[in-house]
Amino acid sequence: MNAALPESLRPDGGAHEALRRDLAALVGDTHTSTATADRVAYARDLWPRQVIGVRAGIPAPAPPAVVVWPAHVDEVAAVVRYANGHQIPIVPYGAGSGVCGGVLPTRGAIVLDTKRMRAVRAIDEARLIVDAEAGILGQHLEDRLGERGFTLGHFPSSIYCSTLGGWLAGRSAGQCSGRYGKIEDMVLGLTCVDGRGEVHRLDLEGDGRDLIPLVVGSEGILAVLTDARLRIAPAPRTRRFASYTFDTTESGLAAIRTMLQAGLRPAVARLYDPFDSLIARRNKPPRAPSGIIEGPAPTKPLSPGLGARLLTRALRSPGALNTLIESLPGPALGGAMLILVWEDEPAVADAEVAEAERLCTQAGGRTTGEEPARAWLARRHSVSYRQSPMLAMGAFVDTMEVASPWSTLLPMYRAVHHALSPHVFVMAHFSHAYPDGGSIYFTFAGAAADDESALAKYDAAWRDALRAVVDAGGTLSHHHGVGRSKAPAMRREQGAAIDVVRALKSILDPNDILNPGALIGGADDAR
Amino acid sequence: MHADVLGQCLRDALGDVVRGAHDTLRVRPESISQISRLFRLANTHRFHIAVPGSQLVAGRGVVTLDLDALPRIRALDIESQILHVEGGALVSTVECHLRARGLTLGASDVLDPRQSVSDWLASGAPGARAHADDPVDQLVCGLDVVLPDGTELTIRPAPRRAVGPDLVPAFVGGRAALGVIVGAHLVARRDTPRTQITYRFATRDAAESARAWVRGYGVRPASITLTEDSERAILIVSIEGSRGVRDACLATVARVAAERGGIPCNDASPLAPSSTPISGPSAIVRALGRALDPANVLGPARTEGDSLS
Repeated sequence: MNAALPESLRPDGGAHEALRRDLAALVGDTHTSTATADRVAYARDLWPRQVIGVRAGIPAPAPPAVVVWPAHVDEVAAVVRYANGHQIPIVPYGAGSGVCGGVLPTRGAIVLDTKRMRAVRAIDEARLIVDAEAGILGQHLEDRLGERGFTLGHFPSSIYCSTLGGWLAGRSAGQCSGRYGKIEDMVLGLTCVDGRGEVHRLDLEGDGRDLIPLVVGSEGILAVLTDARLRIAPAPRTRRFASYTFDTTESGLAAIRTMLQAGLRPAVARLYDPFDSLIARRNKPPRAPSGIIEGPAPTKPLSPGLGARLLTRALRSPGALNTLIESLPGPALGGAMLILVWEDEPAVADAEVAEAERLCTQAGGRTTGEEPARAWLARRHSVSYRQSPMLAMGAFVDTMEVASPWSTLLPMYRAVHHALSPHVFVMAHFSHAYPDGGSIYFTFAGAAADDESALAKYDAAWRDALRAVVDAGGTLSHHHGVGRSKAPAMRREQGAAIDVVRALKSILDPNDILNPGALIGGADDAR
Repeated sequence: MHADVLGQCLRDALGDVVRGAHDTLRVRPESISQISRLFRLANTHRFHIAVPGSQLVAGRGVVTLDLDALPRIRALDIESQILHVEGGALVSTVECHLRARGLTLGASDVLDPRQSVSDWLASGAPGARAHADDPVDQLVCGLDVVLPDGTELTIRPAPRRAVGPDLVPAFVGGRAALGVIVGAHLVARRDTPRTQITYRFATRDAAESARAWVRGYGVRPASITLTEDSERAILIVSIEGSRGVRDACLATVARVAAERGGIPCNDASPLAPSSTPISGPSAIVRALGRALDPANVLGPARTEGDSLS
């Protein structure tokens, strides 16, 4: 049976089992595993590059030696101290839904899964604070808060398959960031274990003022997050919806900017470029009325029929398709669609809706009623589940979310579009707006004759797009993080800041055992 | 190095931006590259530099960095409402510049008119709007810093980013433990009419709860200050924006306050603010400072009270 396994998964003469026994003494025998299935499952996240690898028959290029499931911060500290003493890499693991190669073990590493630490410890209703453990799944946390009439207000499209710890490690953003902020804006305190096994309990009012922002977003290279204290809000009693169509992306962006700078705070402000608008308009709300939280819409697998073959073929030469769509005037495609959702108190929301109506109309927008915004809400988590059919038919799909000040947002949009166009078919929407700028979410799809060529095309698309982002004055990521996929471009954007982070890592993780290779690169850089 | 020799050495390297003698040596650079050069000299010749925002005071072996010659407003990106200023610009000058264009930093009136941007930010931007009052807003979206070894570090302006640890709070409020702020990208806000209301509560807990729920309901106050003495807690709420939004927010604030026993009052007497003042860098950030500054250029004050080796 072992002969059928790839070389990376074959038994190693007992070293893995010896390591597992040592770790079992720290967390319990049933909370460790060297099973092949576990080692394969924990060998990657959802970085599309790795998914292409799986399709090519490489499910786990560098599987971990052992997976451990500690239940308490003290057990995490014990595992980290052990690993530090033996200089074994540790990869902190939430739910593995990241798309940047943030959790990609090196061979022989320990994967530390936080999902046994999933308690909601306390909800302070008077001060609107929740204390929760890092391994809780996002939807479970939201459910627990919802039972008491509260919300965290954090709704990434991965909410069903991502953890609180993962959100914090990657500076996640939810779809309602306009009302509640990003995850880092909600943190009041946290507990983490550094690479020496020391436990830090940080409070925003104390030592956490400067340390929390350093640990949050560190993608597991500085510390393992074990719990957090977060600001919550009363669950919305009502929502308000609006949508507008603009002739151009430019005028739609001007409307969003004007609203944000006037102090309006719609929970959702999403502007689709004309082609993305065309796709988005096809989204209809489900027939049956649904509640506040809806499940993902089922996706129909594409059979390898004529349509799929034609699409794959078209994606192999995307330049002409991109040029054709770009050459069409916005109105020919139906214009750029803006959807707005509010979750404030009814009187506040009504006042903001009226003010938004005035500003959008002033910017050239034509109201298209509530339905497009309602339709988006009903399907808001389904986008993450649409990639599999494309992969199954031999193509690849990825997303790229970048940000910049308003003055460079549109030039960056054009530059990245231009950089991606020769390699992949590209569309985009603008979401997560702030008074000083916003984020662009590119979705792109490509195909090639075989998986090796697909990987080459994929890498070229990312390389050129990241360069365009930095050259245009943007930041490489707004909320997906860096992982391994963007690490090679970090120096170009961050400059000497990389050296400051390295110096910090040398203090908190002197043996470089925590998630080596992620964020700031390393010897095992995957690209 | 003897003070006279040091002074001559600095003049040879930096020219007439060096002032004073003996224990009052001051360097008044006219460019960031001159600041870098000064820091490199300090590493080579082992002297300390007192920079804006740090607690190191002038004296023997200490050269004072004066940013007076870097007072310029480099650019106002009116579309993004981002002002790029040099570290030596006075906060009051910046505010005047913005007000003339219908904008403001949104900080309260406690601003020291003589304070430079570098000093103000290194001290934690006292008077600035609390982030909790509007999580979507921010004051500093980018920074220019010179590290202790003379390296120029630029944090490019961005509304938000997910590219690793956020270094901005290590510098803003960091009392120059990691380097000196020589420029900043500050986010301005519309200077719109404000309405201020005050509520008196029987306990601090009730006032704290009211503040949390005001924010929780989505009211984004321009400021919300909790002050207290032994007998009462006072919540002073300032609301801005268009008339319609302001009225709706004021109604929400009134309801939240009433539910917790808050009574409207005219009492805005200056009780001590209950917020904790910024305590300077944490032990680990101080350790980071030492790692970035092995020659201890930014001074011994940073090492006080540390147990972390």
